[in-house]
Amino acid sequence: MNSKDKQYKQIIEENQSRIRSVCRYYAGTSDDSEDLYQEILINVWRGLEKFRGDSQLSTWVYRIAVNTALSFVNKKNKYLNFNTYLDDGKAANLVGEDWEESIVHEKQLELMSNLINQLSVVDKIIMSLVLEELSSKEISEIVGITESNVRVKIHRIKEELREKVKGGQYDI
Amino acid sequence: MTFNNQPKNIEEPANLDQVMDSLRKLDVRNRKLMQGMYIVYVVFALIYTGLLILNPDPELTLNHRLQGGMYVLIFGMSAIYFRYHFRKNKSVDYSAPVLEMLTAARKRHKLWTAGTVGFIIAMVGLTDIVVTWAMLDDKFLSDYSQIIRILIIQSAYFLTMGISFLIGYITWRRKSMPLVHNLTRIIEEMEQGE
Repeated sequence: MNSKDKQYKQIIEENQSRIRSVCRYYAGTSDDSEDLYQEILINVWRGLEKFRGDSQLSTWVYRIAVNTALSFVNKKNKYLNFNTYLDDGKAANLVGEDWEESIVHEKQLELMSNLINQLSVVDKIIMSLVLEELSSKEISEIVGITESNVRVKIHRIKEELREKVKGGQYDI
Repeated sequence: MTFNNQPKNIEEPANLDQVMDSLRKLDVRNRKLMQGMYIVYVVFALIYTGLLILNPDPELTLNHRLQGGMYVLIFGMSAIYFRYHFRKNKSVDYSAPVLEMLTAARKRHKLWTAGTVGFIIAMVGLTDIVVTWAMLDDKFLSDYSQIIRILIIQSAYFLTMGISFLIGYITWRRKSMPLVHNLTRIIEEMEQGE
């Protein structure tokens, strides 16, 4: 095993859960998720020689994973589903601390998932990274916009979600 | 808990899934087209080089050989251009930030870039010179004065170029323009607040 093989193996082992998370968000079925996972692994291998260490390795892997996911075409359905994996903790992180006081049921979580799916594609990308608990700096490095812009966008999205969840806009 | 929700905004013009799907298909199509063009130009360059060097026809003048040399130059330059774009198109950098990747994709599919304009002007100009030069000696125009001959050749040449450009523009407008517009919308949304 040469040094590139070793480095690759190590990167995949260390970042497997991150790659799997991205696959879960962007692939509609487990088969698609597996296909996407394979495609990401190939692109990580292809990109390995370009990695200069300018950003953290995990950020670099996320970039490849998100870009590959965006380019990934679901062969059965033309459009990819964007799947949100929410629990009360993540939901509270999105709309604020009073989440648990007001709503803790499955329907509300489903509502939250629906609301996230109605966001624009750019907002969805950002929210998928927020749900992964990445910092604004990491998100800015992955998406390619400034950190302050990331913070502004996250604030706006959270406000929108909070308004919709609390405003009784949808029957729960 | 897991929810698998169908996106509600599937019909939005700037749906990224749809854009990326179109982008992938167009990239594949363009790669095939560029590879095909590269092969065609290499073959032509080789044939003309062969004719230039080996053709023993005693009627071939120095002018003919120089014209042949210019054709080889045009074919060679075109082959290099298409090879360069084929390679560029093939090596999409997935490790770039999302915004950078989308911006590069938009640039790939724009109708005009500085490089394309320069290449087209150079090729159309060079081809015009060599075609005019070659056809001035042609017998079927020998009844006309030199000015008339030049005018006929130029009219025919630029009419052909105009029709070729129109076909190319219509194809681009149908296939790439919506993609460029959608990518622009997504890029603008990303850059909003920068």
